[in-house]
Amino acid sequence: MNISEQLTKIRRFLRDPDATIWSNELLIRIFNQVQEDLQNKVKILEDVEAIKVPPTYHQTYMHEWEWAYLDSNLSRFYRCFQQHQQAQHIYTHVWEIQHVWDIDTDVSDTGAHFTQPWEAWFLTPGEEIRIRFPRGFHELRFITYDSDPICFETKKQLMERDSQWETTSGTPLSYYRPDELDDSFCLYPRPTNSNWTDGDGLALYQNGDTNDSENGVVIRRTGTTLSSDKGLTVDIIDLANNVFMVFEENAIDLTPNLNGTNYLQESNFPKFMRKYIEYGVLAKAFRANTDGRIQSLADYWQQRFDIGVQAIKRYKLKRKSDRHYQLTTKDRSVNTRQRQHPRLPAVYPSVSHIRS
Amino acid sequence: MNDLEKDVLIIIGENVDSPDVFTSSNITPIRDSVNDAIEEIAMVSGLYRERYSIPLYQDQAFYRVKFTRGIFGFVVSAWLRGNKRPLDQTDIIKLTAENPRFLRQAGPPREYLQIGMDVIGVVPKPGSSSDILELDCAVIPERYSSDDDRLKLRETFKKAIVSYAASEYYASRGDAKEASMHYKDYLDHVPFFKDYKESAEYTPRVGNK
Repeated sequence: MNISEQLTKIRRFLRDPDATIWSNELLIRIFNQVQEDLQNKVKILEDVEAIKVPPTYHQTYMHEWEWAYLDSNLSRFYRCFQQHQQAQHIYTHVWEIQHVWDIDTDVSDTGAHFTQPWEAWFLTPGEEIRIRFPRGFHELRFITYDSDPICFETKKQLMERDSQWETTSGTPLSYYRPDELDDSFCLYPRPTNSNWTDGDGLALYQNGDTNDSENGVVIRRTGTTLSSDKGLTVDIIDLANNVFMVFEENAIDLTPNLNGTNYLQESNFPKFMRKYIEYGVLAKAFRANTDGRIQSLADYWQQRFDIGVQAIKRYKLKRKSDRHYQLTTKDRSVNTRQRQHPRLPAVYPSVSHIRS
Repeated sequence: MNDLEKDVLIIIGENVDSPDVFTSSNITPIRDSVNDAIEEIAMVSGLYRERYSIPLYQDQAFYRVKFTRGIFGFVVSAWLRGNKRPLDQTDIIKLTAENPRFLRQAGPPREYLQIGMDVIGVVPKPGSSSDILELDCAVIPERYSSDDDRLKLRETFKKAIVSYAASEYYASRGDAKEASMHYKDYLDHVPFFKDYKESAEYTPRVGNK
């Protein structure tokens, strides 16, 4: 069910098939708001991903102006080298800044610099190696490297503890986030083992996988699929020498080409939950300050959306029905029932009656 | 059109034998509403179940499961076919509290967990590729598209489905009041906030304590 089909259904209820009152652009903006709101309320979107180390990126860029020219069909971009903030040029080694300011003494750099992070495994790198969080990443639930859990540390904690924090290598024990805009993280120490399978450079696939001819390497291995006569298709996620994480996802904004093409995008909500997004869109559309504003219908669809939120929460509870335990906090007593008096047989009068 | 759709037409005042608007070729709005209602009931009640078998691979702990018919809802129970025993459900919080290095362990799985909408994990990860995990799953049935398709729905809820579809019809006509009334009928007939009472299966006994 793509956005085109959902818009058709929404317009049926709006009674505006020709977009006379509510334009597609308006409805899609509302759609994105509502699905984000829904995810904030129910937190149903969750995923796992095995991220290969070293990470791979679609394209590399240096200057900020290059961003507008990057391929919009791709998503993994790596900004290499450093911008000299007092000027317009890019520098690789820190001593270049000294030369700009006519200082002869060179401060020693920590290592080599690269345009693609995988090159760091061929040399001693002089910078942190950023690994992108998966697309739609919102919040981390669990993270491991090579099946061992790693914890979060701040960059400041690492700097205070290890003067060689940029180049220290070994088995990763923690991760830190250079910044939050880039949605990336760095492993500390830098892993010495990689997930390569041959000596010719960077091979990210194993026997049976196929290269993506456009991207050159397989970004994400989808694994082995059983044939149809075996009944079930599975996607096997490999953990060895990879970062594995369980994370909460954002609702991914739909950005179809509003000039009339590419309405084939789909929400990342499961298909049976997308109708609740439609209800929220209808509520907001009828409430919008347009010629089609009808308060009673806005209230009706808002009610449907609210009940949909309850239904999804109910569904989440049902997922836990097979458990034999209950998670709680230490503040809450396990025995919620507090008996102040011993249980007496039913023939005894009540304690309050005796006291009176 | 099937019986449910005919019932909806009767409620909204259409002539079932020769409908003016919702003919057989134009039944999509009613059909969409009926399908939505079936999905919602299946989601909150878990009444439609299927068994799915996952062959376990050595050292592979997580599996992304794709269903060819219907949409995976949640796991009701898990059974290890070769070892002939059930698996307990767990979650990431409990696993990391008990043993943060649980992904290192290998052996016959004892527990399973569901992550997101379609990922199943087993703990410990299988030590060999020799067993099959059978999941008894609550499934959201696939949407029906022809008159002869089976409706995976209990008889008890058919009236509720009709009310749901009638409600959406009146909403599409701009009559919020009538739509709300029919939607209230729907809510009164579905187990939205209460489970199927398995206690009803037990026969009462009378006697001394």
